[in-house]
Amino acid sequence: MEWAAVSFVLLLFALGLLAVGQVIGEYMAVRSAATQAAFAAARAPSAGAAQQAGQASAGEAIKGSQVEDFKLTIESDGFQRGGTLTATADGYVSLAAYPIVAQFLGRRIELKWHAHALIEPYRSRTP
Amino acid sequence: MTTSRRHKQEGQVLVLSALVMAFLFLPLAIFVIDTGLVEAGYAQLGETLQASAEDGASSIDEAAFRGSDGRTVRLDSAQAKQVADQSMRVSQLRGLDSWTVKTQANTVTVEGKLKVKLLVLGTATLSESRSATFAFGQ
Repeated sequence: MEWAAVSFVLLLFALGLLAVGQVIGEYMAVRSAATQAAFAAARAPSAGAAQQAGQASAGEAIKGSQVEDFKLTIESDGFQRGGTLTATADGYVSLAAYPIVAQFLGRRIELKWHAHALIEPYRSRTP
Repeated sequence: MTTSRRHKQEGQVLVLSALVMAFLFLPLAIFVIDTGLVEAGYAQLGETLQASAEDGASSIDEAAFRGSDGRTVRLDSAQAKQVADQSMRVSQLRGLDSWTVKTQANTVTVEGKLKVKLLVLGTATLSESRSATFAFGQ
């Protein structure tokens, strides 16, 4: 009886630990995606190219991760040289693999990160 | 096993599991979370420093370039420092404590310190340095 109660608590804790590890891993992927997208977009020759470069870079960064419904938005405020570009990466990590943990933390956890970069002051522009 | 002996052993598993929780699972949980935070901060600091160094290294000495009819292409040291500095400021990196920008010949080096607030173990200060070299005609 004692064993049953204790092993349940220990199992819950161990699963929670695994779930936290996964959330942290996916959080790092989302952070990395936002940062790399911001830097790639800031070096693009036009606003349109910035969107493409940012999306491609973010896609590369989260490749292999288990982030769901990943979304990247890039705001460049006219893409003026020397201005600030903001990339926001947003996604969810599913805890479906940990049903007991999901009871406490919810089925999905939202992960979001903003990254800012200086739009290159000297980059040549293409229309 | 006699009944009295079994009675004596009751509760041992609870003590054992409490010890496992206190000395294994809890430190492990702290380690997992804090290591993740440090790793994420380190990666982000590195990427920010690299981008700033590259931004700085794109500063051409316009006066020398125009004055030599395009024959002299070199880094504008003052401008490079200013641009790299602006790039670091614009990044708004959370926990960024301080940074220095140095230029030597055509190379811009940015050193930065990031304070990462850990879950349990207080604050970790991370230091990193990245460089970028001005390149032309490649």
